Amino acid sequence: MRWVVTLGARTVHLDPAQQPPTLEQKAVGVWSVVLDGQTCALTLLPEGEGSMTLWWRGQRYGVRVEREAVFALRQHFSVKQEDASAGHTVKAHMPGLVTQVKVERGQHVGRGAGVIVIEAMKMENEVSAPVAGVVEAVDVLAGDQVEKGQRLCVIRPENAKDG
Amino acid sequence: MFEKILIANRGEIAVRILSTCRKMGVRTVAVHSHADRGALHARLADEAVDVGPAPASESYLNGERLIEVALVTGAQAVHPGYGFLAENATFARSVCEAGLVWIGPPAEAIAQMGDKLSARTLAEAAGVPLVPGSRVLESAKEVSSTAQQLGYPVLLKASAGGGGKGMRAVRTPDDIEAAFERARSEAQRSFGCTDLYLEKLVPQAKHVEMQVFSDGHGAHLWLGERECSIQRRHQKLVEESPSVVLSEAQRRQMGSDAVSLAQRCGYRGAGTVEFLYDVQAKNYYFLEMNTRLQVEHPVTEMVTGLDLVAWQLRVAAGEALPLRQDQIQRRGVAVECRIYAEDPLDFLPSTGHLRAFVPPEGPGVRLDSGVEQGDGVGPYYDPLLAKLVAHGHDRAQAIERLKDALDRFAIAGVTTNVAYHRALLDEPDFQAGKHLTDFVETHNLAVGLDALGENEAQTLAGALYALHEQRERRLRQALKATPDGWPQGER
Repeated sequence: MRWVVTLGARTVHLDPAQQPPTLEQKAVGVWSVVLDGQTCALTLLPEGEGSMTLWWRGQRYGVRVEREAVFALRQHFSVKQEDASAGHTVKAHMPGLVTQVKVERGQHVGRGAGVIVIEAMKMENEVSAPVAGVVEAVDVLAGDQVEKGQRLCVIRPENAKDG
Repeated sequence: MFEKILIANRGEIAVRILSTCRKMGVRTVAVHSHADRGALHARLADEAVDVGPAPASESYLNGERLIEVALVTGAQAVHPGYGFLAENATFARSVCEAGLVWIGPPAEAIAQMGDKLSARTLAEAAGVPLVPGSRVLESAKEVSSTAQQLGYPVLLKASAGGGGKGMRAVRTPDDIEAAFERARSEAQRSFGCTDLYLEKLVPQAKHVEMQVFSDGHGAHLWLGERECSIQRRHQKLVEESPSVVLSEAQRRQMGSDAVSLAQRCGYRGAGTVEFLYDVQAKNYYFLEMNTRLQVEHPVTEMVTGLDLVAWQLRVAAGEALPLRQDQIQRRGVAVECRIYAEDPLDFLPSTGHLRAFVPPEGPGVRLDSGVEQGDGVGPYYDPLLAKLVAHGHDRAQAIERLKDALDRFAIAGVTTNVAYHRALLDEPDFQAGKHLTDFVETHNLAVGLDALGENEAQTLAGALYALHEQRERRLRQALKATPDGWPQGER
């Protein structure tokens, strides 16, 4: 049986002739494996629903291990991720303190206009509108602490049909 | 020696100071903000006191509260670490006025060196080479005529500056007006002082700094240089000692220049004189003096075998330095990576909980960490988690040991810049010692999975497949253990 391992954005078709590498457990969830003669630590954390997360060299990667046929089916039926609403949610690209909210609900904004200012590590970062449109919702207030990836506001594109 | 001291800091440097105190039998008082309740430095100290809310301005920068805590707990001295109040002359003075000992240089030396222009004047008087530059410039017009004399490109700097704030490179006369206004408003906002001056910009430069140590008895020593050319946003990422560019004669000259400056400002304790090394001219110029223990001091400690924090405590307690200049020995090479909780490519900070934190061990490897497994990493403070340092008999061995240590370091739950360091240590310019201060901007490194060859990716995927199979097998066995194949409790 052939297997496919999806690692973040990378897809690896396992070579069936290859021997599985030797793994040594170092701690709960922590394993060491030899890559190109170099011993590397990898941490594998279960994330529920049977999925796993790999932490390697300080970075996080989603992991999927599946049979080649399953992988091919999933590829065949997978819908494009860029559905209509995806681009309109403005998220925090870093954790920090909201110092300024420059828009309010119902306001028209141009593409690239500054909507929210987040301060972290003494740096101010302006979050800008990914599309031109109308602000549909604002989720934060100045003074709020936000996490990375948290929704800040929603912008409905100018030419989109009314829901 | 002191019986008890207060450590007015957090994170890895507070833990670092604690460990020397423990060795010397000095008891410790840690301070922490609400957000740092239960943080490693607070857990390790003999006493820990909450000094206020998460924002540093209300806790770690609240000088009055820190002095009050020192007095109430019976601490005899205050160690400021680096950052926060370490280079605040007013705080240093208040500590002394409260009858406590300040583990740092005299307040006057901090004030003199804190102002970049007065530091330049002192350095000039001490005979230390300076980058050609100006006095305070009042208008864009004045900047323009001075820039003409110095020759472009030039660097517009804030006199009260630090950390790259209020600093602008100007390459053509057309950019003067805008650069002047922006640097001025940035300086006003950051330091409350709009004094600006010009320096000639050195295009191909390395950052080389000299560690000095002075006691109150007339001894001033230099301990060796550190090269810190790898920087992002004016913050250092990698430091090493010795620097590959200095000849032994230059090293001695730089050491004696740094010592003259320390003498000239009546220095006491640990200090660092920073220089810009002009690669084309093979000259160095004075940049500034940092009147505190540096983040990268472990590099010097590993090369000299000295404990700089122990020396700080001894000098503050009135002792003389235990060694003479000719007794300072430097052996091998040490390289340090600063492990930041941040994305390795866009350098944006990350937060979370450390679900794994398993440091590597090995010969010549040292870790200074402010966190342990299970600790939270919040958004409030500098994202420096730990410093990983490796020592070797030469630079190549130190780099190999550091690569190995980075690879065996398991960190999960918070994104760190380990992948950047790993890629950097393999980069040919860095390995050849040709790295300059603009390295990060001029080198696009492939990091993490992107840097992995097809064979290694196969091995990694094979490991994940094996672990996945192992998990599935265990699940199947758990199912088989029930009589009718249904999991327990669902029949």
